[in-house]
Amino acid sequence: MADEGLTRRRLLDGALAAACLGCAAAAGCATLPYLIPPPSRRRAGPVAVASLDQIPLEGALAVPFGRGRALILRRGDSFAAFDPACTHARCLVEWRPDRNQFRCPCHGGVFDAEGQPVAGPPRQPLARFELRVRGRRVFLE
Amino acid sequence: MKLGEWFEERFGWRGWVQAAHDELAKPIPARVNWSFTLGTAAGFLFSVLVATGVLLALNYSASLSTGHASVRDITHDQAGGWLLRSLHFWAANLLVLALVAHALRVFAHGAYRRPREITWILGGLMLLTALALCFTGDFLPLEDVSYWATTVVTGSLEDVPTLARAFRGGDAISDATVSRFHTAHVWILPATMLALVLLHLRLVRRLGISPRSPDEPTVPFRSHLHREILSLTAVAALLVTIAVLLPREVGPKFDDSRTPADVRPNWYFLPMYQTLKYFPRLPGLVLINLGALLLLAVPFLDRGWTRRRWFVFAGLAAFALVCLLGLLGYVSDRAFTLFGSEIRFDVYGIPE
Repeated sequence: MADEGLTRRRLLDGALAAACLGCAAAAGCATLPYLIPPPSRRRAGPVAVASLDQIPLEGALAVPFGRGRALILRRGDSFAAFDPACTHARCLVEWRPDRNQFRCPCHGGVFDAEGQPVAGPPRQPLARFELRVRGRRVFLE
Repeated sequence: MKLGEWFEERFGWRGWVQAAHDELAKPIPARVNWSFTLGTAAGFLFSVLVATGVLLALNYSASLSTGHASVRDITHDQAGGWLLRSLHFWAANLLVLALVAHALRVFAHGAYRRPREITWILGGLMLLTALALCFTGDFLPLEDVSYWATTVVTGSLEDVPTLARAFRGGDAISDATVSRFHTAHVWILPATMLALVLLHLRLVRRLGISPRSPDEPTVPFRSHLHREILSLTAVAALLVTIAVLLPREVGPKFDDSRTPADVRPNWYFLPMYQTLKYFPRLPGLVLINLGALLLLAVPFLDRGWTRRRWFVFAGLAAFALVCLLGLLGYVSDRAFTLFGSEIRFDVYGIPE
């Protein structure tokens, strides 16, 4: 086929194709952010979540907190509050008083009483919440 | 004017009949056998999934608070609902099996080589889409295990926070998650699958059902048709039998305050489940995605007949590894009684 060079028809076809691609790209760019929900701006706390009597002496108590949950661990007079979501895949860990460890039922992740990973796939420690005891009430922030 | 002529003038249906006759007369290699009916079986199972899925969607309520109850109503109160749900569930399982078997057959025959690379890639994408359909579909009944399995998978994406939030529709599983999974399961993924099937079929028509050397004996496609019909009948009979004998029960509703002791996904996700135990989150995910990429890249990795034997060996070894991971995932953290003695496996699938 003979090369006819740049004709008006070819120029218009090219411009039309470029415009269509541009529209598709613009529609794609506009749609992508729509798929991502806006970040939550709500900050939880300080909120009274439990009274001291509810927490077993050498045990843990799971309480609703913010949009999720918190796990309050009591060992004698010391308290700590953890986000029970396993740092591996977000299943909820459970306190095993017989081993003094948190264990994740999904992939066998194990954390010590400080929330540090000691076995299984997790590499990050459990997230902690700030805990205050005022009177007989436990506040989380 | 006769009715036939009236329609012919508008639709040109005689041309379609002629095209169908031409298709049936197309030559295919005489060695084509029963194993070549797996693709059609997969297509049939997908159409069963669409038909039963549409009927199930009529009574499903896509919300965290009502989803489980609506599935229970479908199963226990709607006439024939249990059978529809059971057919849908087992058709999905058989579809994954059929696609894997089909891929193994194509791999063993080396039928992905030039010019069939794209046909293979489309088949691989169909398998991945089928798994995505299974994943989103498993979540919708909002049973305890499916809820937490979804938590695990979306939680595994936390290293790419935007991606995890985009999947869930927020920081945690919520009504937005149910909406997204429902939309993906009912609209996006079936439409993607349909597009892939049509493209795949177009390429199979263009390039033939199997590679053929010029001097190879051939038979018309018509002679293979009876195998396809018999195979479809057998698959339909198998599906109905399993669906009736092993109806899909409704599991307990999810409890977001406590992860159940045994969160184990369905068999097709066991290899991934077990992989995530051996590796930290990001490397585990990278490995799983690398596996999917390797599957799609098969036509470009097999570089010639000389190394063919080694390539088939490597492929079968990779498949055996996936099966082994699945088996380890099944036995892990469980105890079995074998010949009177109890064997307990730890979370990695190693006997204790």
